[in-house]
Amino acid sequence: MNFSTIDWVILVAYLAATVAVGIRAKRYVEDLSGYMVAGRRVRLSLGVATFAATELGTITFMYFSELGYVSGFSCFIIGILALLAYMFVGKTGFIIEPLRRLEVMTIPEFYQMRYSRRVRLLGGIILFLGGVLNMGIFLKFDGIFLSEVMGFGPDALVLIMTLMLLVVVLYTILGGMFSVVVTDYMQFVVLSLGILVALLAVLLSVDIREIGDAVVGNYGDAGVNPIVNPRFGWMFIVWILISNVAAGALWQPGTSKALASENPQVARKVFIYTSLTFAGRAMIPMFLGIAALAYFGPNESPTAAMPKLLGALTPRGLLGLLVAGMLAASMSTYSAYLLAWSSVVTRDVIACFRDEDFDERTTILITRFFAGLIGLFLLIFGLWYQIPDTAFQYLFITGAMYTAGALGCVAAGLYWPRANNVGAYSALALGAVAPLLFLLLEKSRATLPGWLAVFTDVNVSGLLSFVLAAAGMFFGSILTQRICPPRPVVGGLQNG
Amino acid sequence: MDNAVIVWLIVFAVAALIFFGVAAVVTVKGFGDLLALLRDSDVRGNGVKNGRESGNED
Repeated sequence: MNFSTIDWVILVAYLAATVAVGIRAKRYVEDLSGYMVAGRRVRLSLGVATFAATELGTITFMYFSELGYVSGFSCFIIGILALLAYMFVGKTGFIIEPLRRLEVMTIPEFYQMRYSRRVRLLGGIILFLGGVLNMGIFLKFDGIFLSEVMGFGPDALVLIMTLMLLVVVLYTILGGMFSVVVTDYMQFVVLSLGILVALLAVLLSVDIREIGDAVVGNYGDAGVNPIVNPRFGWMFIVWILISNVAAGALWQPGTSKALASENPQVARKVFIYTSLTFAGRAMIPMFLGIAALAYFGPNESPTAAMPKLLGALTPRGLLGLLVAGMLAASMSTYSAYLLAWSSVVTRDVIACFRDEDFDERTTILITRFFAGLIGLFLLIFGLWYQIPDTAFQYLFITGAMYTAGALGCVAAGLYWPRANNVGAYSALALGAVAPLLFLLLEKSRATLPGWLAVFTDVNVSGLLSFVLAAAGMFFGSILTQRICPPRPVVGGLQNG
Repeated sequence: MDNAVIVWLIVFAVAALIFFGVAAVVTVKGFGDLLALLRDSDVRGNGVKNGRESGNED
C-alpha cells in the first residue's frame, strides 16, 4: 500500500468539503434554469474553471498517457488540434453564440425550434445513448488509476469508486448546475495542484534525455512525426480536427457551460480562454506516459504504466494531494455528464412523447431520478466492462455517432436557410452509420471482404461519419424542398 | 538529442506553462466570480424566468 496517514487525511478532508459545499449549493436552486444552467449567470473566470474541469477527468489522463506510451511525441498533435478547434469555436462563436442567444438548455431543443419535435426526439435518443455509453468506461479507468497509484486490491477500489459516485450523484441530484459549478471550481483548483505535483515528481526523477532517447529508440520517426506514424496520418488529423470542433460546440456537458454563461459574448470568451489549456490538458498526461516508457521500458501495460510511475515516484504526503486531484477531476466530469444526460433524457426524450411539456417542478424531479439511475448504471457497467484496446479512438468513434449528425443538423440549421426535416433525419441517421459499422465489424476484420473491411479502420470510419452526415443534410434537403419546405427558427433567435 | 524531440519538448513546455498560467489566473479571479454568483443568487432569489420553449410541432 502506497498511502500514508497524511495522504488519507488530505483525501478524506477533500471529499468531506466537496460533499458539504455541493449540498449547500442546493439552496440556490429555485427554478428550472437555476437547476440546469445556474440561472445563466456564470461569469468568465468561473466559466473557464468549470469548463476546463469538466473536460479534464481521470479518464482523460488515462487515455492520453496510454497514447503517449505507445506512440511517443507524435500524439502531441492531438493537443494542438484541440487548441485550434476550441479556439476557432471561441473566436467565431460558431454554433455556441446563436445557441446561447436562443436560450436553449440542451442541444436537441434547437432541433424542435428549427425542425420538428420528432427530430428533437430522435436527436435526443442518439445523444443520450451515445453519451451514456461513452461515459460507461470512465469508472473502469478510474479504478486502474487508483489501483496502481494507491496500491490497493480490487475490493477496496470498488468501495472507493462507489463512495465517490455516491457523493457526486448526491450533490448533482440536489443542487443541479449550481452544485456542479461550485464544486467544479474547487475541483479545478485541486486537480491543477494534483497535476503540478505529478509533473514535478516525474521531472525530478526521470532524465529528460532518457525520455527523448526512449521515444526515438522504440519508435524511430513514428515517435516524433504524426504523419508517418501508422496510428495517425493525414486522415486522422482531419477527422480529429473536425471532431474537436463538433465536440466543442455540441457535446452537451461542455456546451452546457457556454449555455450557462451570463451572455453570448462571455460564452465565446469562455471557449477562447479554455482552449488555451487544451494543449496542456493533452500533452501533460501524454508526457507522463512517455516518461513511463523511459522509466519502465516498452513491455509494461500501456494503460497501467503512467499511474504505476506516479505511484512509484510521488513522495508520501503529496500522494494524497495527487489522488485528491484526480478524484476531483473525475467528480467534476461525472457531475457535468450526469446533469447533461439526465437533462437530455428528461426534456428531449420523455417530454417529447407527450403533447405538452412537463411543468418545472416535474422536470426537475424526473431529471433528479435519471441522474440517480445513470449513476447506478455507471457503477454496474464500470465494474464488469472490459476496456477496448484503443481507448482514445473508441471514445472518439462513439462520440462521432452523435456529433457527426448533430454538426450537420445544428450548423446547417443555423447557417443554411434551405435545411429541412428530411435533411435533419438523414444527417442524424447517416452520421451514426460508419461508427456503428466500426463497432460491429472491428472484431471480425480478418474475415471481411475488402469493401467492408474499410470500415474497420477507425480513422476512415470517423472521418466518413462527418462526410456522410453532411451529404445527408445537403442532398436530403435539396431534393425535398417542395414536399418539405424549410421552417424558420421558432423561439426568439435574434441576429442569428 | 534528436532535433524533432527538442522541438516537441519546447512545445510541451509552452503548453504546460500556459496550462498552469491560466489555472493560476482562473483560480484567483474565479473565486471572485463564484462569490458574485452566490451573492447575486441570494439577492435575486434566483428569479430568472425559465422560457418554456416554443417551437415547431409536428
